[in-house]
Amino acid sequence: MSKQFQFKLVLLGESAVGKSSLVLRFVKDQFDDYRESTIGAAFLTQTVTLDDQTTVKFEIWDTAGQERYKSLAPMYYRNAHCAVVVYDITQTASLEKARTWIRELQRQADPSIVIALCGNKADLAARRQVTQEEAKKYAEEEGLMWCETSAKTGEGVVDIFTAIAKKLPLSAPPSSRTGGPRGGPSGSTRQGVDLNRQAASQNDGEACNC
Amino acid sequence: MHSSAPRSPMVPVDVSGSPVTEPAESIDAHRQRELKWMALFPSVPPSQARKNKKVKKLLQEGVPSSVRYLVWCHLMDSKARALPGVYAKLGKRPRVPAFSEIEKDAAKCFPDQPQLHSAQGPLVSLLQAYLSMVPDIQYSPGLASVSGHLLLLAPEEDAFWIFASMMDAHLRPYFSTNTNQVEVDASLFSKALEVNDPVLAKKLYVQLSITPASITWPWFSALFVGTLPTEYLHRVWDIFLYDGMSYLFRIGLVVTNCVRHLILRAKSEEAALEYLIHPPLACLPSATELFSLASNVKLKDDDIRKQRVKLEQQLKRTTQVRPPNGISIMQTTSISLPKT
Repeated sequence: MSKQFQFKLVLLGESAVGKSSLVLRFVKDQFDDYRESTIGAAFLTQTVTLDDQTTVKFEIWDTAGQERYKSLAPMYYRNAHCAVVVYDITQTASLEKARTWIRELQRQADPSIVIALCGNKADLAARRQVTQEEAKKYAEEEGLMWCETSAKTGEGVVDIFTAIAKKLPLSAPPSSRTGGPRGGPSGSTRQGVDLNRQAASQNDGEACNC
Repeated sequence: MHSSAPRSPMVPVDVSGSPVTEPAESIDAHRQRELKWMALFPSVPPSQARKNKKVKKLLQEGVPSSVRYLVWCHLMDSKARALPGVYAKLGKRPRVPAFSEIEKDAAKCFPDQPQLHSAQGPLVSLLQAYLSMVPDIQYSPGLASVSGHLLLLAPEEDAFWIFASMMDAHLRPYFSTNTNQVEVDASLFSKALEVNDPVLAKKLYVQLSITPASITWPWFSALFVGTLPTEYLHRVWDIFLYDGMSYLFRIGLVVTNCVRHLILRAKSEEAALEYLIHPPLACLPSATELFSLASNVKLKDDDIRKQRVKLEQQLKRTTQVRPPNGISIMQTTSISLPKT
C-alpha cells in the first residue's frame, strides 16, 4: 500500500541565484533564460515518488530574494518542514547571504526543520567562485544537506528534492503527529550529507510502516 | 481629536501578527489553512469573495500570515484596481506637504521595524504616492499606522493597492475636511452603546460629557492600531474587510466592555478616553475570546450599514444648504493619476 505525505518547503537565498528557476525545473521541467524577479513569494506544489512507492508532496513557497522583501520571509519559513537555501556558485557573496539565512532559520524556524544548502548554476563551473570543498565543509559543520544543481541543465534538481523527501520524518503521517519534536529518526539527527555521493542510500527502510 | 498619535505595537514585534511560537500540533493545521486559501483563490472570484460563506468561515478559522495579504487583496479586489506602472510614477512626484511628518511617524509608530523608517523606505514612499494621488486627504498618523501594518505583510506595491482600496471602501471619510461620516459613525456607536450598556453610555456621554467622535475617531481612523496588540489587529482586519465598518462597531463595543469597570470609576474625560483608546493589556481577553465576544455583540449590522448611508445623506443635505462659511468646506473628491 503506498503512502502519501505532505510537507511545506521554503526556498531562501539572495536575489538572482536561481530559486524560481530551480522550482520551475522541479515542478514543470522547464527553464527560462530571463525570469523576472519574484515579488513577495510564489506557491507551487510538486510530488516525488520514492523507491518504495511512498509519495511526498511538497508545498513549495518560493520567496523573493531582493533585500526589500526580506522582512516578509518569516511568514513563509515559519511552520515549514524543510528549507532549501540557494547560493550561486559563481558569486561568493551569495554564499555569505546563504549563511545569514541559515543562521536565521536555526534561530527562528521550527527546531526540527530540515535544511539543504544548494549551490546553483553548476553549469557555469568555469566561472566558479565557491569551491565544492568550502561549501561542503560549511554544510557539514552546520549539519545541513548540501548539493550543487543546475536549473538550466536540470542536473541535481530532482535529486535534492528527493533527498529532502527521504530525510523528512516519514514514519507517521504528518497529520497524526502531535507535539514534541517531529518523529522520524532522520529528522532529529543533524548530519552533514553529501547528496552528490550518497543521495540514494539514506533511510529507505524507514519510510514504510505498514 | 485629530492629534492622538497611535501608540506603537506593544507586543514583541512579530511581523506577521501570529504568536511567535506555535505549538507543534498546530503546524499542520496552519499548513492546511494555507492550502485551503490557495485552493480558494482561483475558485472564488474577488467580486464574489465578500458574499461567500466559505470565505467567511475560513476567515474565522484564522488566516495564516503567509497568505494574509493575498486574502486582503482578494477581499478588496485590489488587483483589479492596480494600474501597472502607476505606483512607480507616483513615487517620482514632488514631495507632499506631510512628507516630514510621515517620516517622523514611521519611526514613532514602528520603533522595532527600522526598515520602515527611512525617507526612501516603503512606508514613506507608499504614503507619498497615495497622498499625491489623492490630494484631498488630510494626513494623520493613523495613515502611517495602517499602511505600516500592511507593509509588514505585503510587498510594497501590493500594500499600496490594498491601502488605496481600503481607503476608498471604508476610510477616506475619516481623512477628509468634511467630517460628516465621522460624526455619523460616532453617533451610531453611541446609540449602539446605549442599547448594549445604558449605564456605561450615561457615564461616558452624559457625566463625563465625552464627544462621541473622540472615542470612535482614534479607533476607526487607525483601525484599532495602538488600541489592540498586533496579533489581534490583523485578525480584526480580516473580518473587517469582509463585513465592513459594522465590524469595527462590534470590536469597539467589546473593548468598551473590557474597560467598563475602569471607566465607571474614572474621574475625568481624559482618563476614560485613555482606557478606551489604550486599554491596559490585562483587561483584554484572549484573541479568540475577543472574536467570539465580538460576534455575540447585540448589533444589527444591516441597520448600521443602512443608517450610515441614510444619516450621511441627511447631513450632506443640511451642510449643502448652508453657504460655505469662513472655513473652506469645499470637498474635492478628485483623484490625480499620472498620465500614462
